[in-house]
Amino acid sequence: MRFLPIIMLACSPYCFALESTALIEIEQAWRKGATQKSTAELKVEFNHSLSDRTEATAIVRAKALGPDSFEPGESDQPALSNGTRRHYLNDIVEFELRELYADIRLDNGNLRVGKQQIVWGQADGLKLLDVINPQDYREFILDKFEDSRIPVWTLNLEVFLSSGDLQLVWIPDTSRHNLAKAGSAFEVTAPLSNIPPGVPIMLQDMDRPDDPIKDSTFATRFSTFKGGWDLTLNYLYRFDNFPALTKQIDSTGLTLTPTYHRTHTLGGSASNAFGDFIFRSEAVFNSAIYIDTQLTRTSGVAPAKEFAYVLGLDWSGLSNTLLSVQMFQSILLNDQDFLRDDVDTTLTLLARRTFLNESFLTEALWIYHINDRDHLLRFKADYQWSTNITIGFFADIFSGAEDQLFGQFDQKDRIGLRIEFGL
Amino acid sequence: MLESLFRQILKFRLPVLIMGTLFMGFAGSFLPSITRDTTSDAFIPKDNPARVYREEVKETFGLADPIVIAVFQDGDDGIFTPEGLQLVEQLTLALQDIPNIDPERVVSLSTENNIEGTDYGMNVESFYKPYPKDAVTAQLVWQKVSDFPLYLGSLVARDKSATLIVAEVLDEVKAEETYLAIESLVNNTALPSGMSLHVAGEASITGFMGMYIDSDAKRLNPIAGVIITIILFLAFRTLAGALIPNLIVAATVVGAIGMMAAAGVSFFVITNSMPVVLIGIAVADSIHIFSAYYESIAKNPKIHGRDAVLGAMLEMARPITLTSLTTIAGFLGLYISSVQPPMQYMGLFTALGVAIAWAFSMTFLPAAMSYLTVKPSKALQVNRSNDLALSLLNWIGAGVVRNPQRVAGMCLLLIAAGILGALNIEVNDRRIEVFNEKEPVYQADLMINRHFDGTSVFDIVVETDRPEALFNPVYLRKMEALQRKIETFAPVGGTTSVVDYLKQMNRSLNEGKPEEYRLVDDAELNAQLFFLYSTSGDPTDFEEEIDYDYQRANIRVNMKGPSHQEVAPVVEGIQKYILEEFNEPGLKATLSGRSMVTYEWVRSVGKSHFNSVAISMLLVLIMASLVFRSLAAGLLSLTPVAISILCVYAVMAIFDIAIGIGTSMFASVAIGLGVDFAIHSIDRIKDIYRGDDKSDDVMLALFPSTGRALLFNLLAIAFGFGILMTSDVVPLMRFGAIVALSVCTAFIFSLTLLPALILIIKPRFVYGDTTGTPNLMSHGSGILLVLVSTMLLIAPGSVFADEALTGRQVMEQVVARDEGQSASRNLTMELTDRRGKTRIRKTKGFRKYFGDEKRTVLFFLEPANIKDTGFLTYDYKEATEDDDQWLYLPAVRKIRRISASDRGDYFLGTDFSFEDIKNESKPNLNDYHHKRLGTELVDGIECIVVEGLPVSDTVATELGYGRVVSCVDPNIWMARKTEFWDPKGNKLKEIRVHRIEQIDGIWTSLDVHVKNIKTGHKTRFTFSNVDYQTPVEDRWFETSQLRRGL
Repeated sequence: MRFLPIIMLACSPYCFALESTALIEIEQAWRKGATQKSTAELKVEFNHSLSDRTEATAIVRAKALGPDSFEPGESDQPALSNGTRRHYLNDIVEFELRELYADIRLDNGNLRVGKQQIVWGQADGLKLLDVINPQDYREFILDKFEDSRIPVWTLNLEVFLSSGDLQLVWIPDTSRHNLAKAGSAFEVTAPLSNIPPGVPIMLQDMDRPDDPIKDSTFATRFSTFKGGWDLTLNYLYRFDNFPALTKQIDSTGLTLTPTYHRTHTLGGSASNAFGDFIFRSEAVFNSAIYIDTQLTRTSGVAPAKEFAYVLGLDWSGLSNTLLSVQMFQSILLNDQDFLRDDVDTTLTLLARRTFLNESFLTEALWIYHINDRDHLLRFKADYQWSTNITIGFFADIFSGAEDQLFGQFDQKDRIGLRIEFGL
Repeated sequence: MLESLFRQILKFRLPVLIMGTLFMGFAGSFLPSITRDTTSDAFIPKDNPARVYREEVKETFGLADPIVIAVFQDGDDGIFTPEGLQLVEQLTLALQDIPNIDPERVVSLSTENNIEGTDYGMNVESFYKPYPKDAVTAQLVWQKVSDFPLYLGSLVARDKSATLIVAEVLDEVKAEETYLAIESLVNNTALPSGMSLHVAGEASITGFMGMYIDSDAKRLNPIAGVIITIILFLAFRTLAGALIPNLIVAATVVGAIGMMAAAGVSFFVITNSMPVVLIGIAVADSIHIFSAYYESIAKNPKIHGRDAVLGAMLEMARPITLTSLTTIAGFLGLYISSVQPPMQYMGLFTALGVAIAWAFSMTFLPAAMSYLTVKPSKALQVNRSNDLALSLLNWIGAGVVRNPQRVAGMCLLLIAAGILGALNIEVNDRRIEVFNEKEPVYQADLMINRHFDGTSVFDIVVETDRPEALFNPVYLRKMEALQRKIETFAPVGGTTSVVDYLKQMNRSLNEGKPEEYRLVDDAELNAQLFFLYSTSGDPTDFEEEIDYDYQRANIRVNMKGPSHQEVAPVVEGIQKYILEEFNEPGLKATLSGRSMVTYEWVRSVGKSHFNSVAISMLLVLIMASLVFRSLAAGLLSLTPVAISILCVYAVMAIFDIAIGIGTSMFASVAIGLGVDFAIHSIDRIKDIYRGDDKSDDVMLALFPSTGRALLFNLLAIAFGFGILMTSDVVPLMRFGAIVALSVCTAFIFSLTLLPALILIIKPRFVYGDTTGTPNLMSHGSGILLVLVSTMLLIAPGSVFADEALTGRQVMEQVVARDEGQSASRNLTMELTDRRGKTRIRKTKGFRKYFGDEKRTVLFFLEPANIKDTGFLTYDYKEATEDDDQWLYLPAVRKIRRISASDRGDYFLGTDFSFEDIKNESKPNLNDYHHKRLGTELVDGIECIVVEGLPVSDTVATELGYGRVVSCVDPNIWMARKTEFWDPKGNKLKEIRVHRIEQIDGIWTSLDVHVKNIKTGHKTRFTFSNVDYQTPVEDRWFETSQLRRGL
C-alpha cells in the first residue's frame, strides 16, 4: 500500500493510453524574514473509461516540503486510516493517493466507489454541512480547499428521482481531521481549555474508533431545484471529526485523552439568484458535539446540542467584481458550563475582481470572529501568464490574542509567491 | 444575392438550358409507363370499410361488375319472336367466347331455367332450347317467363319489348378491351328490321370511360396549347414571346405527369384536367417576366439583352415566387383535405407542377431569353394609345380610385348573394352523367332504365350464425318483408333474392296456382325444395342468391340509375329498417354493392369539399400573411378569391349545378390560382406606395403595368380552363367552366375591390412605417415561415424574401434560424491580449431545448488548472424570468449559483458577453429597435445591414451596448459581421464569422473572431465535432452532472 502511489507515479509515463493531466505547483512563503512554506507538488490525474458507463479516475500527488516548511518531517497521522495516510519517501518528499474511484452510471443514478471527496453546502470558508471529508489542518485553513479536504474511501450512490436527487453515502473509512503535529507551525494551542499554568500535562494516545462497519459514517442528502431555488435536506450519522479531550486530574497532573464521539447531524441548504444578488444559506442541528467545560466538571468535556447556520449574500453588480458577505452563527442549546460562548458568531467578507479578460485575479477575504474579535485577512493575486502558467502572490494576516482561534497564529503572518504549471 | 444568382444563371446559360432539357427528357421517359384507372373504385381509398365489405360480398356470391347487352324489338310480340330469341342465343354463345368474360356467368333467356311442377315433383329446364322456329312457340316462351315473376323486370322487360344478356367481366382492369370486343360483336351482328342492341352496365361504363377520356384529352390538350400561344402572341406580338413560354409549359406538364408516372400513380378521370390546368398556370410566370422584359426594352431600346433579362428577373422573381407559393398552398390544401385518391394526387402533382413551372421560369426562361436579340414588343411600347387592354384597365383604375366606397358596396351585395347560394348548394352526382348524353352508353342506360328494373344495383347481405339457418321460415319472412319495404322507395325497380325462388318452387309444386307463390312455414320443406331443385337443375344456379351452406343470402336491389340525392333516402331508409328488424342475435343484414359504395364516396365528396375550401384558404392565408409579413395583407389577398368562390356558389345554385365529382375540386384550384392576382396587385401596390406620395391617385399606377400583365395572365388561365368547357367528359366541362368563372371574378375583384379596400382602410403594410412597431403577424412569423415551408416541402425561399424586409424582419429571420433541437460540440477558445500573448481553453459543450427552455452546459477540458470547470445555464423563454446559471469550480469542488442579470459581463474572460454566448449570435428582439441601413459586401457576399438600438438606457447599460450593427447574410440568415458600440458611443468590438458550414442541414459558424477595440484583446472561437443529430442525454443538464464532469 505504501508504495502504490510511487508505483503509480512511476508508471505514469506509460499511461499515455489513459487520459491524464498534471499540475506542478511551487509555493514559497515567508514570515518575518524566515521561510514558512516551501513546497513543490506534482499532481497527476488519470481518467480512463472502463466501459460506456464506467469511468475510473485516479489522482496522485507527490509533494516536497522544504525542511523549514510548516510541518517538516514525517507525521504518524494517527487520525487517519491506513488506506488514507500519506506516504513518506524521506523527510522531504511525500506521496499521496489523493483520489481513486470508479463512476458507474446507472439508469437513474450514479455510483461512485472509491477514495473521493464529497462536498456539501453553500457556505465558503467555514464549514457546516461540508463535514463528510475530514480536513487536513497541517496548514490550518490556509491550504486550498481542495487540498485541505482528506479524501476517504466511500460508497456514494446518487439516485435521480423526478422530484430531485437522492444521495446515499456510506463511508467505512474511519479517518478524522488530521491536526498539525506538535511543534509544527500551525499546531493548535489556543482554545483547548483554560488549563491553569504549571500543571503537568500528559497526552494519552489517540483512541480512534476504527471498525469499518461499526464506526462508519452514513450520510444522505436530497437535493432539488424548485422555482429557482437550489434546496437540499441533509442528514449524517457521523463522528465529530475533532477529538474531544477528556481530562482527568490527579496527583500527577492532568491527563488528556482524545476521544471521538458520534453525532446526528440534520441540516439543509438553500440558495437562489435575485438579479445581481445571490442568496446562500445553510443550517444544521448537531445532536451531540463535545465541547470543553470548566475543569470542575468531571471529564472536562460535555456533549452539546448545537444549532448553526450561515447566511450569505453575493453581489455582482459591478462588472468582473464579486462582493460577498457571510454570517455564521453557532448556538449551543443546552447549558453545561461550556468554555465557549453559547452563541458564537463569525463574519466573512470577500471581494474579488478580475482584470484583463480574467487573466488577472485579485481577491481579499476577511474572516472576523465577533466573539473574540480576532480575525484572518487573506490577499491573493493570480496572473495567468499563458495557457499553462499562472503566477501568484499571497498574504495571510492573523491578528488577535494568543488564546483565540485566529489570534494564536498572530505570529504566523506570511507572504508568499506561487507558480503553477499545467502539463 | 438575387442579382448574383441570376448573373450566374445568365453566365452559365447553356448548362442551365441543357440541364432543363435533360430534366424534361428524364421526366418524359416515364410517360409511356403511366397507367389509367377509370373505375369508380379509384375514388374510394382501398381501406374504406364500405369498399372492403363489398369486395368480401363479391367474393362470397361471385358477383362482379356486369356488361349488359339489351336486345330490343319493335312489334306486338316484342322480343319473343323466333329471330329475337335466336339472336339472344347467338349473342349469348358469342359472349361466352370473348376473353375476360366469365363463360359460366353469362345470363340470358337462353341460359336461364324455368321451374315447373311435375307429378314427381319439380322440373327445372331451359325456357327454350333450341330456339323456337315459329311465332307460336316463341310466344309460349313469353308465357313461361311471364309466369315466373322473378325474371320480369330483371331479365325481361315487363312489356316484353326487350331482354338482357348479362355478362360478367373477370378482371375490371381489362374492362376497356372487353368493352371494345363486345362493341365490335354488337356492331358486326346483322340485325333484322325493328331490332336494336344496346351495350350498358357498370363494366361497360368503366370500359368506355377509358377511351372516352383518352380521346377527350387528345383533343383538348393541343387546343389549349394553341390558344395559349395565341394569347401570348396577342400579349407581346413577338414570336419569341409566343414560343419560349411554351417550353416552360412543356417542361411543367411533362415534369409533373412524368413524376406521377414515376411514382406509380394512375391517371384518373379527374386528373385528365391536369395538363390543361398546368398549361394555364405554367404560362402565367412567363407572361409576367416577358412583360417586364419588354417594358424595360420599351423604356430603353439600347439596353443590352442580358441586362434586360436581368432587370426583368429581378423585378419579377419575388412576385412570381410569392404566387407560386400561394398556388402550391392552394393545391396542397386539396391534397391534404381530400379523401379520394384521385383528388389527392391531382392536388399533389399539380402543386409539383407549379413548383416545376416556377423553377423553370426562374432559370430556364432567363437563360433562353438571354439568347434573344433585343427587339421591342409592338404590344408594349412607351406610348400605347391604341392598346385596348390598356384603355380598359385605365378606365377600371379611374373608377376604383374615384369611388372606392361604391366598389366595396357593390361587392358586399355580391357577397350576400354568394352566401345565399352557398346555403342552397347541393351535393349530388350520377356516374352515368360523366358522359355526354349523346353517347350510346348514356342512351343505353336510359333505355334499360326505362324498360327494366334498373341498372344500378346494391346488395343487402343477410347473415346468420350457423349453416342451414336460412331454411328457417322466420328469417325468410323477414327477408321477404325487407324486400317489400325496399320496393316502396321510388327509384327502386325491383328486388331479387332466394325467397323469390322458394316461392316459385312452392308454386310449381302446387300445380302452378298463383296463390301458392308464397313461402312455406316449414324449414324442412324449404330444405326439400332446394333438394328437389338440385335433382333436375344445376345446383350452382343460386350462387348469386345464397351461399353453399345456406348461411348467408343476398338480396339484390335494382334502381333506375338514380342520382346521389335519390339514393340517399333509400340507403338511409333501408339502414333504419335493418336496424329495427334485423337486430336479433344470430341474424344481421348489411348494405353493400356498387351503389352503396358510390353513395359513401359522393357523401364524402361533399364533406371534403368544404374541408378543402377551408384548408386551402387557411394555407393560402398563412402563406400570404408570411410573405407580406402582415395578417392584414394576408386577409386582403384572400378577399377577392373568397368572394369569387361565393359568386361561383351563387351561380351553381342558380343553374342547379351540384357539388359532385367534377365540381368538388374547383374551390381549391380557384383559390390557388385566383389568389395570384391579389398577390401581384398587393405587391405592386406596396411598391408604388413606397414613396412619400400617399395620395389616392398613386393607385392609378397599378393598372397599366401589373393590371395589364394580370389581364393576360387571366386570359391564359381562363382560356385554359375554358377549353375544358368543350370537353365531352361532363364533370371536366363543369369543372372548367366553374374555375374559369371563379378566376375571372377573382381577377375583377383583385383589380377593383382590393385597391378600393386598400384606399378605404389604408392598412399599415402599405401606408405605415414599416420599420416601426411590429404588425400583428410579426411575432414568431419567422418560425411559422420555417414551419410552413418545411410542411410544404419547399426550400425556405430566402431568395425572394430579402428585398423588402425591414430591419426587424431581417432580425426575426435571424432569430428564427434553425439551430437544432440539441447539439454537442467542441469549442476551443483562443484569448490573445494586445501584446499577442495567447491563452487557449478547450471545452466540450451541449445544448438542448426542453420545450421552450434552452439549456446549455460547457465543460472545460484544458488547461489543467481549470479542467472540470463546468458552466450550466437554463434559459427561460419568458423575458421577465431571469436565467438560472451555475458554475462548478473544481478548486472548491462546489457548484456556485451565479447571477444571470449581468448579461453584459464578459463570459469567462472572452470578448463575448454572457448575452452573446447565450443567444448564440441571435439578438433578443425585445432589447432592440432594428432598422435596415442598406447592404454591404462581407467576404464577397451581399449582406443586409441592420442597426439595432437598445430600447432603453437601462437595457443599453445591461447589455453594455449602445448600438449594434449587423451584416446579415440573407441566404442563411446569419450575421457575418457584427459591430458593437458602448452606451457612450465608443466603438467597442467587432465579431466576424469566418467559416460557416451546413452541418446536418443547419448553418453553423465554425470560426468566430472577436476583437475588442478598446482593450486590443482578441478572442477566437473554433468549433469542431458539431453534431445536431446524436441525441443529447438530459443528464448533461443536471447540476449533479456538473459536479461529475464529462
